[in-house]
Amino acid sequence: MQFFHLITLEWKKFHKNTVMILLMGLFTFLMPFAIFVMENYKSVPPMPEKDTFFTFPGIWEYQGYSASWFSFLFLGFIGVLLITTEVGNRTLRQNIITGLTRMEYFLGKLYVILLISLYATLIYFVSTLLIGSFYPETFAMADFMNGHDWSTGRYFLLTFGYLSFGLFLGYILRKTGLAIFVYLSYIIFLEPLLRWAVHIKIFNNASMHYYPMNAMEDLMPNPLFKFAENFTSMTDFNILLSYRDASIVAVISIALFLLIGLRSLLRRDI
Amino acid sequence: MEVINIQNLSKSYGRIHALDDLSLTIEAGQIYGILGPNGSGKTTTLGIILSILKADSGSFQWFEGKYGSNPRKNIGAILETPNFYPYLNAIDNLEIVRHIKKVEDRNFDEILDIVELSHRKKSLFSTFSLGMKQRLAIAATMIGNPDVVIFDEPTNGLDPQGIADVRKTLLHIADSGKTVIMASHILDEVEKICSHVAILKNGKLLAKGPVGSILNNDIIIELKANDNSHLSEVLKQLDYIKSIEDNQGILECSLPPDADPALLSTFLHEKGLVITHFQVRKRKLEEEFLSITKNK
Repeated sequence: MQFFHLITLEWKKFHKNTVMILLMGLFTFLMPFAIFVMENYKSVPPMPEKDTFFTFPGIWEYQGYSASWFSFLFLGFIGVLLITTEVGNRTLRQNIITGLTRMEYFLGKLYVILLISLYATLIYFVSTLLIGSFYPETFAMADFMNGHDWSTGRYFLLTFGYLSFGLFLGYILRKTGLAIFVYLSYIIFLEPLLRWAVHIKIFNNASMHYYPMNAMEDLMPNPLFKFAENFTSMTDFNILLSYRDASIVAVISIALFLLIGLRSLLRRDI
Repeated sequence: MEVINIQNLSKSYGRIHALDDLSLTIEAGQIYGILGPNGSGKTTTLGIILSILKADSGSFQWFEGKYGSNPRKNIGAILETPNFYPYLNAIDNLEIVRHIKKVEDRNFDEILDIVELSHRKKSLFSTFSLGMKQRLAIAATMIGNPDVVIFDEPTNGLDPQGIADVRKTLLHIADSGKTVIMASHILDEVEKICSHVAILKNGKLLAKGPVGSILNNDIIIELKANDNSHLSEVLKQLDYIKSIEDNQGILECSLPPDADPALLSTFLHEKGLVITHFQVRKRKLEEEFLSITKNK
């Protein structure tokens, strides 16, 4: 009942927001088809054959890796904007004045990112199923779960992770420009820098992989990395986290993002 | 019934004491003005009792605890600026307020009529003038017909027509028997609308009570004579004159409310003074305000 009340409230707030519509639209209409940029790919040994990208079991990984970029960019931004738009318009403050509790406000946002993650996962699952089944006009659905390896669950977790990180930065930083800047620069530069320039100098072992956003990435890594790992190695240890470890780090990170965000919302002036 | 009971609230922003040990009780049906210059702690006070700011110390209780820890669904309030979703129209914005308050009635025609925005109900909030935004905010406070409404500087930044429109609406609400809490730095506004007033300066409560008692009902007699210094000498002989102030050549004498101006006039005439200006008026809130804030 409370779930329904809060989720319809969020719908009323955002279903006419141009930026949100644009981000959701781009995700919905671009993500399923992005894999087709590989149509012009020419295989050079020892790289995999082109069909690997579009047929089971490979497509689960390739479509997932491609989709993870859309989660990182479009959906993560939504996580940030869900909070910063409301801080900027002072509607967060007005929502509380009008009668929402801070906890209800937090739960409303949590439910939204949960539903968006489920929606994204559904699109990933259905698009993978369809492309994998009908490419290239060979109906191969019979063994579609072959090689699935929890990829739907992993994709859900990573999407929820990016959204939680966005929400977290929204709560902590509050300003759209700043939060987006930190979101991008942390994931693209700061964390890799920390891992590859600092951490590895101090502890030259696999502990350098146990970082929140690296865990999200390793839930759905570039499949070519795994392929490459068979031939060369930059380090004495694996360059990817195992799915199990990535999942554990992701779950702990998500819990921390949400708890720190909640704590900030409950304790600070708004 | 007590609408709100505020006990010893304090709040600092760094070194600045925004609010210093404020205690205040507001009863049902009062039109309560919180008056003070900018930066005196009015908005901080309202922010704390509306749970968007955290007090450093002290406590407050709404409705004698009747609605528990979240009484805000039973209060209509605006703080500082009208806060709405700019990309939604007036109706959509009011719908969000209705949704949060869980009010059944989805018909906003009546309240939009009161604030004269019916013709713009489908316009985006971002296209509204400041006056219209302020009026929409006032409309939002009426959703669910709450017993208490709170306004913070409701006429701030408006043009004369906007001020007149908003005041008309406020008087309309005040007449409906609701408890109104209104922060303002405009004395005239408080004097015209409020039944009670609390005066704040630098976060401290300087005075509180019915507007009449804060005004203390003294009468002011303005006097001017050809020889003001002689006039002043003569006036000082009268012990029922509480104070004499020279305001740009006019002597303003403060007298108790039961003093008879005719006696003073006769007395001055007998002393041979030629009076060129003689006017009796009530003491203004502005004077009261300045005299209170000057000394503390």
